[in-house]
Amino acid sequence: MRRRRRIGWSTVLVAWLVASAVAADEDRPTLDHLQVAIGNQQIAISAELDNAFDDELRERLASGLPTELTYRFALYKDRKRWFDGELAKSTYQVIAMYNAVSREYLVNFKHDGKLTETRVVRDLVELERAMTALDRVPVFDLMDLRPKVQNTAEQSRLLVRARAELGSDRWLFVFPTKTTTDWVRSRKFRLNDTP
Amino acid sequence: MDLYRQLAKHRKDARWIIGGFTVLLLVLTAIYYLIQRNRDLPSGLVTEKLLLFVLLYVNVVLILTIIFVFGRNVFKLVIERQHGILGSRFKTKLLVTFVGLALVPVLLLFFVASDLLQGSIDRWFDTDLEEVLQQGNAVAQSMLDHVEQDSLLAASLIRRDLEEINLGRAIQRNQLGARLQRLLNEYRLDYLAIYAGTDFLQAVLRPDSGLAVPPEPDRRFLLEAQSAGEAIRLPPTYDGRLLLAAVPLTGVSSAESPVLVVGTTIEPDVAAQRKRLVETYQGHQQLKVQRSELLASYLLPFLMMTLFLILASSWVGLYLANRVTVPIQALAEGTRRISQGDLETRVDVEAGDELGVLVDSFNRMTAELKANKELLERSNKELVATNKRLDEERALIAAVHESVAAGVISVDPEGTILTCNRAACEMLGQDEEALRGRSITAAWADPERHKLLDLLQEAMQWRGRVTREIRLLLDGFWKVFEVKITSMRDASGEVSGRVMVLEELTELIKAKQLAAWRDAARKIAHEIKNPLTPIRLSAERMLRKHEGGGADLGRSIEEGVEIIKREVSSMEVMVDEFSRFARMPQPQPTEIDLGELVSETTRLYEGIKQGVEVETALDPAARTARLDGELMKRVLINLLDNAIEATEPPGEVTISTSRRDGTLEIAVSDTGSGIPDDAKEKLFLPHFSTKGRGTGLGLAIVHRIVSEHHGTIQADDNRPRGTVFTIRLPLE
Repeated sequence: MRRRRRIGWSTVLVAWLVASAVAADEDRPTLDHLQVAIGNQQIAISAELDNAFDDELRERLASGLPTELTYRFALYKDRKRWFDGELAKSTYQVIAMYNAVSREYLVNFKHDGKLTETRVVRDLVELERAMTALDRVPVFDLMDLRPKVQNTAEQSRLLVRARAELGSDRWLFVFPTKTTTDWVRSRKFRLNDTP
Repeated sequence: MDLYRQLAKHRKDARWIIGGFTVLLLVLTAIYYLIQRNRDLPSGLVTEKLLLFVLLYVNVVLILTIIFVFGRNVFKLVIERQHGILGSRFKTKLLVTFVGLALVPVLLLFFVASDLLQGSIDRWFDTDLEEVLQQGNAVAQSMLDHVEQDSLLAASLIRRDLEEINLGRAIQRNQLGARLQRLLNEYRLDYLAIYAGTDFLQAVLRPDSGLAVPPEPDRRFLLEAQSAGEAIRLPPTYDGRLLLAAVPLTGVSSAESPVLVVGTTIEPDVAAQRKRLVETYQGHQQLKVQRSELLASYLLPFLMMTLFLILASSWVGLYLANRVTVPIQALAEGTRRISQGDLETRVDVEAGDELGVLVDSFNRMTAELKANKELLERSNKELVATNKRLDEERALIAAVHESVAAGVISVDPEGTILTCNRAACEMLGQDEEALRGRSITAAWADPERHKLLDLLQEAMQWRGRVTREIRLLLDGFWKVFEVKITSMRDASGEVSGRVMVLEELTELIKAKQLAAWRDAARKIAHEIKNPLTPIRLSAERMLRKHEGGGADLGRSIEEGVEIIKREVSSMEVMVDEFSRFARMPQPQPTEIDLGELVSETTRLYEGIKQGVEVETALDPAARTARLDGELMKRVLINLLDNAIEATEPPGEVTISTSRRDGTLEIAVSDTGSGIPDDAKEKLFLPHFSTKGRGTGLGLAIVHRIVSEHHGTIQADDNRPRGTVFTIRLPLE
């Protein structure tokens, strides 16, 4: 009797945990439509970050604090029977800051820490698009990459893994934690594939 | 290893402990300073990353240190408990107590402080305040919205007004300035400009607008207006005092897309107030967004202090627990080793308090134990050697004991026979098993051997040395023994038993008797021969006188006959004496008054010898006895005769009686010249005399009468001089 009751409670607990996880998963930000394009000696990435603009982020943006979305990319050599080999890493940051006096959003784009673009938008929708929609963003420079992977990269199949970091929080008010998406993988490609 | 010892040594050094506490105090002071500084910081600096970073990682390091310290000690304790190491349970209790005592108040304090802090920060975001700020911001933004709408409306109306203009014509372009001026005045604008694409074309500025020079909108603004249909900007250089609204001039003929830019200035005070309102609200919103960061920035120093306190208290708890348990563990281990016989064990733990005294006492005790053990071992060796020697001696004694001709029997104070040698067994006709370990009353229950028991009991009562001659009828044969009983004494002088030595005198007495009889026969012959010589000489003289026919024959015959008669008479006396000795009657004991007997006898000797007094000392307890009165009178007369004769005046002869434990003692003592030791042995033999006259049967008769009464007689030296004859007679 006691054992049956224990099993019952365990089942309820597991079901609750699974349901909570699924519910939480639905609202989680995800990085979708990851696409790779090769051209002009560059590997450009297109992707869309969904569910990123929640109330918390909007509140933060409205407060005028610098709000950053960081996209991390990693280029891998595909291996069939072993772990993929990492070839290069790259970071793309989108930092938005609202000026309540001028009622503008200043959006800065940085690639590997270097400022590449600055944009001013007045509309939140436009801001969301600017921050979450990556359209052929050049991430890896083939000129930089080629010396490292000269022999293998052109012949091997490559893939890009990407993840977005939406900010940090604190666990128990002390330990910083990051809100991130899962790592997503692009389709596999070769450097000599035509775009 | 040496390093570890050095560290361990330093760890116990009080200076290091004081140093550690000093560092802790400094750190706590620094934390307090940080908290104070944090309180004074403007809200914008609360998020100072470096401070938060430092605080955060100090906390992380502290938490890790605490986890490590706890984990290490708990792991050690678990291992110790699993291995059943002594003191581990006590250490666990102590550790839990110390840490618990420290942890509970510190954590309580931390949580209360955290709650207070959180409540305090929450109060910052009071809804009333927020509403006020929000309303202020809304008013400010609404004001700007109106300006924007007005500007855009004005721009739209002006755009309609300028629809027919062809910018490609020079004449119309020349008229544009005047038209723009008119429109500027008409719509009460401060600035009006037309751009061809992104290139400046024409602009008018109201003089009292406060703008020194015409503003220059950026290119992106113009492009945005072209693409989006309108654009609004507050150029940052004007600090919110100028609003630019741009619309494309769709009806204007131009090679490039013309853009109309309308500028409206806001009163500086109004702009400043709006800016302040907006910035204040935004600052409030920033704080609100950063609430968790803010809380963390205040909590982290508290947490750090809490962790420091926990670490310090835990460490102190561990230190104290170790201070207590390490010596106890060492003592327990030492005790265990000692119980296993390792007396070299020493507890090498430094402890300065009572535990130190305990450790010192333990070490002293161990040293003493070791010394005692060595002493014991030495003593044991000596004891073993002594035992061996004693065994050898005992074996020798046993061999001697067994091989001596005399019978030796030892009896303990309770009357149990301890030892009995072969000679004694043979003499008494009993097996060793029948004697050894048995009570004398049981072993000697028969009437004959019971005499030995009587003697032994007498000796026990007397507590002195007893020597007796005793006749026993054993297995149908009379045997005479000389029995000597002496006390055995232990080392403390207490009587631990009696030793009875039996010496069989039967054969010796027979031989002595034979010799005595031979001597008596020789003496009798001599005595008979002595009168015979005068008889023979008288007979020969009478014969000679008769043959000679002398005149004096008759006288000679008379004289000869007289001599012969005298000698024959002497012979008759002598023969009578022997006859009486031989015909000694069997004693007929009756209840007699011993005092009367003694008095009657002594009266015979009153004044018999001048200067010799006859005294009596009678014991009232020995007044009566069951004896043959006539024979005993004869004994006393013989003894008194001898005593008086041996005593030279002035002297004294004393008869005393006494009763002692069932034995009647009659002693006749004199103050005479005494008897030589060699003569004492023969005193009671027939025909032995030291007087040189008489028959020598007196003491033999005395001895016989006493023996017939189952008593004994012995002669000893009297003190200070003389001789004492002691008769001992059993009363039963």
